[in-house]
Amino acid sequence: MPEYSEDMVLSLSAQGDREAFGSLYERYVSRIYSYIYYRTGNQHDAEDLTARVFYRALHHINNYQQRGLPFSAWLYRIAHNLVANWHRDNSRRPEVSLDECIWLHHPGEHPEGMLLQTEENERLMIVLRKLPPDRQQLLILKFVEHLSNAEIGQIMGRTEGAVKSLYHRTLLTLRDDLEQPDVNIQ
Amino acid sequence: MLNWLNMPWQKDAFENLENLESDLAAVFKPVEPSPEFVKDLHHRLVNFPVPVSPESSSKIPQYIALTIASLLSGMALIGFIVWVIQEILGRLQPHEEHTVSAPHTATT
Repeated sequence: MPEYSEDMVLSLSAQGDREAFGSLYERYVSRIYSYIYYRTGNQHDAEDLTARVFYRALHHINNYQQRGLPFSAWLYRIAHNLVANWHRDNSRRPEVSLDECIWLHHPGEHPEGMLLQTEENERLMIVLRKLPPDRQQLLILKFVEHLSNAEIGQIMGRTEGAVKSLYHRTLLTLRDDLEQPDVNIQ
Repeated sequence: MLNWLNMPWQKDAFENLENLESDLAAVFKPVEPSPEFVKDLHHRLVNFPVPVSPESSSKIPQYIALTIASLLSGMALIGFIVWVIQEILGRLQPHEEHTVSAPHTATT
């Protein structure tokens, strides 16, 4: 498919052009998968939920209206809702911690090399997993997806200033928690 | 990386939030899906009809059925309670009629 602008591809997709939607999919699948992977912690559920995100987007593409909300933010919102449902449905199971995600996605690296980083990362991971879900989401969107505060605000339904404030408070919380002497490496 | 974390007494290092940001950037890395998954899902999205997922189907009929069932259950319960009350009163009623009609038969 030739390179069209996103508006054109969206318009074609809304008219039922599957190839156009496939082009949108190719643009965003890695980002959506990465986001879901960090929220779920395993490849199987990340693939399942990623597929659901794009099926839902395909199903509702006619309802998507550009009201200043970029298509990517719309996808992230779908992903966020599905992940929230997934956590609700799996609430009896212990959540996979962020540190496990970070371990799992380096399968090619030598275990000894990873062990050298373990002790250093462990303290940070301990305080990270104590953060509320919205703050974890903010950090994932910022550091994994490299989104700006404005883009994160569109996804989280907050203003850019509110995101900036939340981010700063999150950093301060992390710093304060890291200063605590009882952050023990288990 | 994260060497400053091993020295919690060095408050100056902790106050530098930029260090914390660089550590977070080093810890969080984008994760790529497997090429097989990407290719397979692309094929399914482009070539096959959109499946109706359970969560996307309307729940309105379920809510209506649930409401009707609740109303019927409530009416049945109320009817049962009324019937029980009537039964209790019915057992008392003949005794009263008997005591009232007894003088009438005596006069005839």
